[in-house]
Amino acid sequence: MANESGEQIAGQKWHGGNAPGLAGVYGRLRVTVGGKPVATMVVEGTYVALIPDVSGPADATVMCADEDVMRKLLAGELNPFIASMRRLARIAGDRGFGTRVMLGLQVGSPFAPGAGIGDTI
Amino acid sequence: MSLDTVSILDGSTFVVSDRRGDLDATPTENHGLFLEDTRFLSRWVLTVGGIRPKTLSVDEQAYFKVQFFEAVTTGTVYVDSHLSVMRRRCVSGGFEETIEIENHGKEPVDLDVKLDVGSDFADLFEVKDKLAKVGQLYSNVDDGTLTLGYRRDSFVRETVIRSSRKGEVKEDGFLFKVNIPAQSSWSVSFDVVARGRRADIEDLEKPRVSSALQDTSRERNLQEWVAGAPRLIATWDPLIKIYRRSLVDLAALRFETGIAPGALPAAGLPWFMAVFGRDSLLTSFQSLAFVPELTAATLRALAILQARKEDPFRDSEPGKILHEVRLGEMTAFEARPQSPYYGAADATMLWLIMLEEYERWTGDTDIVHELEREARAALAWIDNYGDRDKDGYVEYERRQDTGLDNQCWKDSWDSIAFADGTLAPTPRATCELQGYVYDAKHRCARLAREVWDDPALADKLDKEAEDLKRRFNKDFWIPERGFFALALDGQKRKVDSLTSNIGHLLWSGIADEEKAASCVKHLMSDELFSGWGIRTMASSEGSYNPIGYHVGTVWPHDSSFVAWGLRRYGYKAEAARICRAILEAADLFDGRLPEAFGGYPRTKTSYPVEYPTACSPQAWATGAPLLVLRTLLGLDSDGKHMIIDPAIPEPLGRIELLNIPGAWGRMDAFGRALAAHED
Repeated sequence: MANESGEQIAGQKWHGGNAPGLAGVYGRLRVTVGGKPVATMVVEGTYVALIPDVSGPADATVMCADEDVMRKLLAGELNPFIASMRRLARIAGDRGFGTRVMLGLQVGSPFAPGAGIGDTI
Repeated sequence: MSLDTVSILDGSTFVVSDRRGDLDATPTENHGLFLEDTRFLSRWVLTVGGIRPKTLSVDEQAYFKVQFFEAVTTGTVYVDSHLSVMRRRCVSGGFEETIEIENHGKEPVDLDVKLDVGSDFADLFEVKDKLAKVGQLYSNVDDGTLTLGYRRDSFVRETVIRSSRKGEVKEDGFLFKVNIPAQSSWSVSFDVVARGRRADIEDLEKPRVSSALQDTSRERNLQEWVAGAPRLIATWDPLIKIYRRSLVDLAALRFETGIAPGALPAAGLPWFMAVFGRDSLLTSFQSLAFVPELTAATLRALAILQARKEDPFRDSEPGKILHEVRLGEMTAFEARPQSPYYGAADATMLWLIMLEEYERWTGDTDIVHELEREARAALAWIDNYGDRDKDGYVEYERRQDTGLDNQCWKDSWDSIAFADGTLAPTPRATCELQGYVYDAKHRCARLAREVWDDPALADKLDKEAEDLKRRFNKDFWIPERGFFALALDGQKRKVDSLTSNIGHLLWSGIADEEKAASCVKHLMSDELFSGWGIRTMASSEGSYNPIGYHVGTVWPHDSSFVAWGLRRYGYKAEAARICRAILEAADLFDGRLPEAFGGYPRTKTSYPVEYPTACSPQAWATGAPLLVLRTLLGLDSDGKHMIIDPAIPEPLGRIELLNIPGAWGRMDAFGRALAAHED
């Protein structure tokens, strides 16, 4: 499931890791940038990973205006409500799940700079 | 809302017009088409032959549609008008409007039918506080479609207007050169689409229906909503009207967040058509016996948005339940903190209280399992963050200037004052917050014991609650005045004003019996009981003002909770007296209680005096008659059975409430006033 070794997605190398704010949350979140699917986030409780497979089922989709927005959202640096109001990102599908994931990443994200999992972002 | 305005709404979309149907926003007239806390139309003015038609009547057919009947007249009483105008409007992601002009004369007429259109795209906060725009307004006409827009970086909002007839379309409106033969009519329809933050997604997910005016699904939904609620039979006729009005207004205020199934109650029209933790929770409590589905949606949505981290700008702390969510420009650019804002010190306890109340009423233990993690986080917030200085009491103080001064339900700046009128310094530990903590801990102790299988937590919570009660009855009691202090201030001094807050202590059960008895005397005194309800602040206090928002007005929801608290302590007659007063006030407001009304004594006026800027409909005012009914019939649940213990005042006669939903399925309750010799 998890992409332990890291993959090149949208020009970046991504890994999985711990996201304490996602305790109790399970599912798959598709990530699109500029309308193009680029990755799927697999959430299994506090463990979260980004995988390059964009063909399988997903509970929700987070649609990012550009790569910088995606980076900030996944790093927990961009408030998802602000992103939505400014049309920088939107969630479609199961918005409850998508919102939980985006808010959960704000507490501590494995995709944040200095999260201790290498050169992820 | 002003009596001069007409409002229709659907979720967070609403239209406020004058009684002609025109939108003509000015600094003093808050007209407009609003969605997501933004005004999408500020001008929509019809002229026929250069004249603004005169209103004959307004037919508010449903909360989402209205008809205006008008005549084109010069205003003189000696000349009959031969032209009448009918405007039919229905709100739907914007609104649809059909304008029909009838020529009753024997000659044809040539007319200019003109619609002036404009938008200022004001954030609701800008409307309220008269602030200027930062971004650029634009408009364009393309193939007969008028688009009004506003852009500030990536923040884009647009209003798209199409008409059913070809006419002259300019950037400020539509003009039709019309010839109407004798005894004939002419009509045109407009489709006004407000394109908010999710417009592109909604284009794909929810294509616009062709005609909201013809669509009957919302009528059916409303009928089903009313039919699904218990049926009321009452010998006091106004009660039927008040009850139906409450159900319909609650239906109107339903608000789908999109993040959790179902709809929760938005706080009120026009300023508060948004998610508010406290308002949705208290309204859920009031309406639980009637439409329990509102509570489930409220609990789930607020759980998803529960705070996860510390954020001083938003007064956010892990485990806290939100105060407010806003979606307008000022929030988007962080001039305001409502994304979401967590500056409510009571919402977290109220959420826990509702979780237990809902489970006990409906028997739905699944939701208690589902939300166990959030409930534990909320309990942890009380001790880790709510009690800021570890003195054993929850207190509040905003972290930044953009936050709220007062984070209790009386959230205006001057509400927490000493008896001499001096404002109490922060942090403020208001008394009802401690009552809510007491209640929440006892209730969660039951859930821990019976649902979460965690007896150790249950014992801990029960012990903490009892310890709090013991300390509170010592530390907040003012022996020389015989009631509980409104608050402890930042220096731990007792804020000694007499207020309605002591009634909430009865609801929560934290007051010792003998102290409760003294509080009841105060609540029913001329200083607090106006004759129409309980004043927020007693007329004896230094800050008292009968038209002061939280320092003298009567709030129907506040009175309904005081009455419920009186029942809890066995003061049935006193509770019934307040219930009767609230219902009589509702009757004089044509069945719809406003958010608040003046605290003038009933001996002075034969009607409750209006508060100038009260929201109406407002969710917890709408819920007040429902909690009053529950109080009068003494409805409660032991988890499996409904308890009925009526205490009905003489003028209300007999009340029957049929098909009450709960853990028992559906049950009926009856009550009648006892004659003096039966009492």
